[in-house]
Parts: sequence; structure tokens; C-alpha cells
Amino acid sequence: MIAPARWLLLLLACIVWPGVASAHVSSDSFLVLRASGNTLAGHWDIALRDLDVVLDLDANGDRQLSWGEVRSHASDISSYALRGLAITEQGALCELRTGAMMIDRHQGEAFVVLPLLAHCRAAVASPVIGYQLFAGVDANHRGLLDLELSGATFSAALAPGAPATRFEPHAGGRCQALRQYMGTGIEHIWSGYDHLLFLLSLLLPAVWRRQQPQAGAHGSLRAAVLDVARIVTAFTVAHSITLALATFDVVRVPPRWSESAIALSIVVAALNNLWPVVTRRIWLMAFGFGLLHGFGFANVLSDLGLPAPTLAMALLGFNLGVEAGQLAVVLAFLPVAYLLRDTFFYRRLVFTGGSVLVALAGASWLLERAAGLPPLTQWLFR
Amino acid sequence: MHASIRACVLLAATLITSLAWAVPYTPATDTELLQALPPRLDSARQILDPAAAARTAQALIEAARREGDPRFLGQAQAILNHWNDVATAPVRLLVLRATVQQSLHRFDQALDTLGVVLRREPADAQALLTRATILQVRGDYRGATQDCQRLWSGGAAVPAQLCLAGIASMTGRAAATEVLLLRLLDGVSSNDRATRVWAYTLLAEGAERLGKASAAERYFQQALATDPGDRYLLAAFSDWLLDQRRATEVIALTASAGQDDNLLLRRALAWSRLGDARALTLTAQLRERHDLAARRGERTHLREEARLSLWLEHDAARALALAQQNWLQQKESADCRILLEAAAAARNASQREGVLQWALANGVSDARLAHWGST
Repeated sequence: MIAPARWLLLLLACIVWPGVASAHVSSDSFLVLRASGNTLAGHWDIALRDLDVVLDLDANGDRQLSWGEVRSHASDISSYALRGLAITEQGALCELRTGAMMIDRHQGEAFVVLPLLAHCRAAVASPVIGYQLFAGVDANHRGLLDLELSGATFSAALAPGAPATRFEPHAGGRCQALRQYMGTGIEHIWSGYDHLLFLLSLLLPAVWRRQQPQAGAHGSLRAAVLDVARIVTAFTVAHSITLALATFDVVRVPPRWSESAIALSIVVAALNNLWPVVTRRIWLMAFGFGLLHGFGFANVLSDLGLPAPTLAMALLGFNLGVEAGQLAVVLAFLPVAYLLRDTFFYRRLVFTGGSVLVALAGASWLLERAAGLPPLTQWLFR
Repeated sequence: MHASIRACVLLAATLITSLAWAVPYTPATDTELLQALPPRLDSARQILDPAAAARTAQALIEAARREGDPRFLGQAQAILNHWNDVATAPVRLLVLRATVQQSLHRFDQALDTLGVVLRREPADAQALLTRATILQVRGDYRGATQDCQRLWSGGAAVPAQLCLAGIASMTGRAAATEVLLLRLLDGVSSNDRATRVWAYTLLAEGAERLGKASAAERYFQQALATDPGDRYLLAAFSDWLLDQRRATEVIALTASAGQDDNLLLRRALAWSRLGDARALTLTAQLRERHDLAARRGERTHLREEARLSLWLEHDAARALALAQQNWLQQKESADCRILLEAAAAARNASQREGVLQWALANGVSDARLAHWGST
């Protein structure tokens, strides 16, 4: 039982640690818009530092901006921003309105968050966006746009004063995007040897499951299939959960931790084959470790910087792809393994020898990832 | 057993909460401080007088270099953009424009601008020096030498010598350069900080190329004594300290110099060497910065990104791709190094051969070349 004082210390660490001081980036604003019917809704994040250059927000000259100083310039900020953005649909300018200002932080700097609503005369299908914010003030400023239009996402870096950009969704955008992400998912699981090795380690003994003696000749096949199905499903459900949590930034785990944990899971699974500690309810082990494996897929999607609804669709496609890829491997493995299950080849070479090799691979990955060493294979094949 | 599991869970929770942070909010009080501002520089006003524009742009460029803050460069560019017609724009403003472009690593644009300037004013010292610097970074030693010699014939003796010294040091004459630079320093007034810092920096880099560790440290220290805030110097010295396995000193060095991406990278590398978990947070932050730059369409800090990928993210393949792309733009010692290291990590022997052949063909000599990327 940890003493209360130490709990308090750890708790303080949770609150105090996130203080990373501000640092220097180029001038960016973040414009997030989603089309729905005749409107575009979203928000526009503009850096306080940039606004100060134009609007001189520092009333008391102490070179620190307080909320009071920013708030007193709310209408100036709003009108300056709206002068810098023009959205047209079918030749007609959409009416832009801003909501109540909030504050957010990006890259350690404070930004004004302006909720935006654009009313257009027609349904928003191929809007033209003209960007003029900080034109003549900062030639290096860019408006980073994320536009969601008919299920497809567009990302663009808008330069002030550049010609207006037209955004047009391709036909069948949604299906195409889904298929694209499925492809990414399949590719990811087939190139992610660690995930497949973990799963296969769990499946190796599954073909030996025996049904109750009175169930008849097909009993052991049925038992084997059921067992495999349980394990794969548990693994799938678990990594889907954590993949979703990580993709939406609900939970974030540093890659070094998650990658090391995945390597550890492989070692554990393989060693469990050689020295069985867990013999029943393997699916529980598949579930538990599956939660860790989900984090291993997560950076693929979170790196794309997509807005939430599109990310959801990307996640669905990606997850389907991962499952499909996984299923392909299991279906390839299962019949062969079942037929060979009583042979010396399977018992000694595949099962025992395979588990040993997998354990070694897992251990070497664990060392690499946890200790941050260069790949040991590099040393071996120098 | 249970207590240590709980501790692990809490530690995990700590790490998780520290990384996920940004959510829009409405501050509770008017007195809540949101953002620190740099000293005010006159930039937003419409400046139509060339002399005033030159003064302001110069001040902004110096601020950018001093603070390590690229925002000032964008503001300088906005002012200079009022004179877009290169045939008629004042030469001084064109040179400043080229300086901004060089600082933003847009070397092709800078060379174009400088080409125009030097056709109009063949003896412009600033233009010659800037172009020589860019050409040296590009690995065009012959072109750079020609510009340095034109500087010399134009009468700017000291800058010309420093210009030539830089190239000589890179191309196998580091020992002779050391003698020349020491002699030059004797003749330079102690008030001329810029020249002294430049000379000491060249001396330090030369000593590194010759493999003389204590001399390198001495020269770095003398340079830092002259200008403690010079960011290029702090980054170079941090790299040297990391090589000497003195990572703790890097932490101190980078803490006192404020924060910018280059110094943050060295800080993260130092923490990583020391096994400090803060390296992870900083790595994630730097990765975000590079991704943001990529979204803007800027891939101008490929060398740093390659180092991030290789040493902090342990992604050799990505590091190699970045280092190769970087090599097309820049051929300084550090660019050479990261390419060799990434090639070794990705087990690409032919890339290593290619670099060594380039060095041979261009007379580049560095005692560390054989050592880089071989373990």
C-alpha cells in the first residue's frame, strides 16, 4: 500500500508536468470547416501573437496578453478575421458569422478560437475559398485548412493573397476513401510482423483443443474452430477499442511504451506455449494484450490530422482492413495447422521451434524498443 | 505486488495526461495571462519609403536570427514584397530579400535574387558574401571561391578571408586555415563581435574536422564568450558535447538559451542519451512541428527531421529518405553525417559509397568521415 504522501506527489506530477514552455514556429492559422446543406460550420484558430502585430492588443504595454485585453478587442479581432476570408458558392458570396471567442493552445502558443458559420445561397458542393488574412503583414503566414465536403476531406495550406482555391469532391468520394483506408489497414497488418506473430503464437496450440469425448468425430475440429474464433474475436475487439481511443486522442501512449509492451506480449505468448501458465480462457489473454496492440496501429491515422467525422470513417475503413488482413492469415493458417496437428513436424518444429524463435524475436524487439538500441539485426548482419 | 502495479498504473496515467492537453476553453478571469509577446517592432505599417523599409527589414531579420523566430522573416518579406519588380527595385532591398530567402532555406530563390543583384551591381559585398555562403552550403566550392575572391578584389579583405577560410576548412586545408584565422583574429578589434564569433566558429569546426577535441572546445568556448546567445553556435556546441558524451551539459546549455526547434532537438537527444522520459514528450512535440511544416508545404528542415527520425523515433528507413532529400539541397558536414548514419542504420552500403566518392571528387576532407555511420 503506497503511503498517502507518495500518492499526493504522484498526483501533483500529473497536474504540474505538462508545462512545456512556448517555442517558435512560423505563423499558422487553423481553419476547420464542415459542409452541411447550405452551410459551412467550424472554427478558425488564429494566433494571438499574429493578431497583436496588426491590432496592437497589448493595452498596458507589459508585453503580455491577458484575457481581458483580448476580450476588449473581440469585435476588432472578429472583423479583421472576416475581412481575410471569402467563401463563394456558385459565384455568390456566402455570409460569414463568428460566435463567442475562446482560447486554445497549439505548439505552445495561445490562439483565439473563432466559431464560424457560413450561410450560402445554394447547397455547398464546390466552394471557392479566398484567403487574405495577414496579407501584407506576414508573407510567410499560412491558413491550414481542413474542409469536409460530402464525406471527403480536403487539406490545404492557404497563402494570403494567393488566388482563391476551388474545392470539389470527386465522384464516389466516400466509398473510394473507405476502400483506400481498408487497403492501408490490410497493408499495415501484413507488414506488422509483431501483431501477426502474437496472434499466431496464441493460435498454435488451439488446434489441439479437444471437445468433450461424447461429441463425436468432428468434435475436435469444432472445438478448434471455436477456440480460434474466440481468440481472434477477443483480440480484434480489444485492439479495435484502443485503436479508436488512440485515434481520437482520448488516450495517448508514447510509442516507445506501446511498442515495448507489444514486444513483451509476443514474448509472453510464445513462452506460454513452451511453459503453459495460462491454459484455459486464452481468449482473455488475447483480449488483454490486444488492448496494447491497438496502440501500435494508432499513429497511422492520427498523423493524418483529419477532422473527427472523416477520421471516424477512416478508422472504420482502416479497422475493416486490419480485420480482413488478419482473417486472411488465420484462414490460411487454420486448415493447414489442423491437418498437421498430430505430426512430429507440427509438434516439435512448428510449435516448439516456432515458439522459441518467436520468443527470441520478441525479446530482441523488446530490447530494441525499450532500450532504444539500434536494430540488433543490423549488428548481426553488419 | 499490488502496490507496485498501482504505481505503474499511476505512472502510465501521468504520462498519458501530460501528453493529451489542448481543448478550447473560455478563460475564467480577465487577468489570466495568455501569451508573452516579443518587443514591439514596427512591421505592420505600410512602409513605402525604401530607406525605412530597409531599416525595418534589417531589424526584423536580426530579430529573427537572435530569437530563432521565423515569424519576423515573414514580416520582413511582407515589407520587401512591395518592391517585387527585380529590374527596378533598390539593390539594398533585393539583397535583404535574398537574405530572408536564405534564412528560410529557399536557396534556389535566393540564388536567383542574388544573380539579379550581381548583374546590376557586380561588386556588392553583401550579395557576394551571401551567395558564396549559399554555394558553399550547396557544395559548389568552385563557385563559392570565385565569389570570395571577387569580395577580396572589391576590397572587403576580412570578410573575403573568412569566406575563403570556410571553404578551405571544408576541403582539406583545415590546419592551414587555423593558422590564418588566428592571425586574422590578432588584427581584429575586440569590439568587432560579429567577425570574432565567425572566426572562432570556423576555428571550432576546423578543429572538429582535424579531430582535435580540446582545441575545438576551446574555440567553442571563446566563441560563446563573445556571443553567448548565438543560436547556431549553441546548436553546434551541443552537437559536439553530445559526441563527447557530455549530455548533461547540453541540458544546461539549451535551457538557458530559450527555445527553438534546433535547440529543442539537441535537448531531446541529450535527454534520450540520459534515459530521461522527457525526451518522449519533446520528440512528440518536434514531430508535430515537422508535420505542421509539411502541411504548409515546407520541407526546409530535413536534416533535423532526419535526425529526429533516426535517433529519437528509431525509424531508419524514413531517416534515410529524409537525409537523401536533404542531401540534394545541402552538403555541409552535418548533412553528410546524417546521411551516412541513416544509410548505416538502414543497411544501405551503396549510399555510403556514393557519399565517400562525392567527398573524394570534391576534395572534401574530414577526419570524422570514416567514423560516421560505421559501428
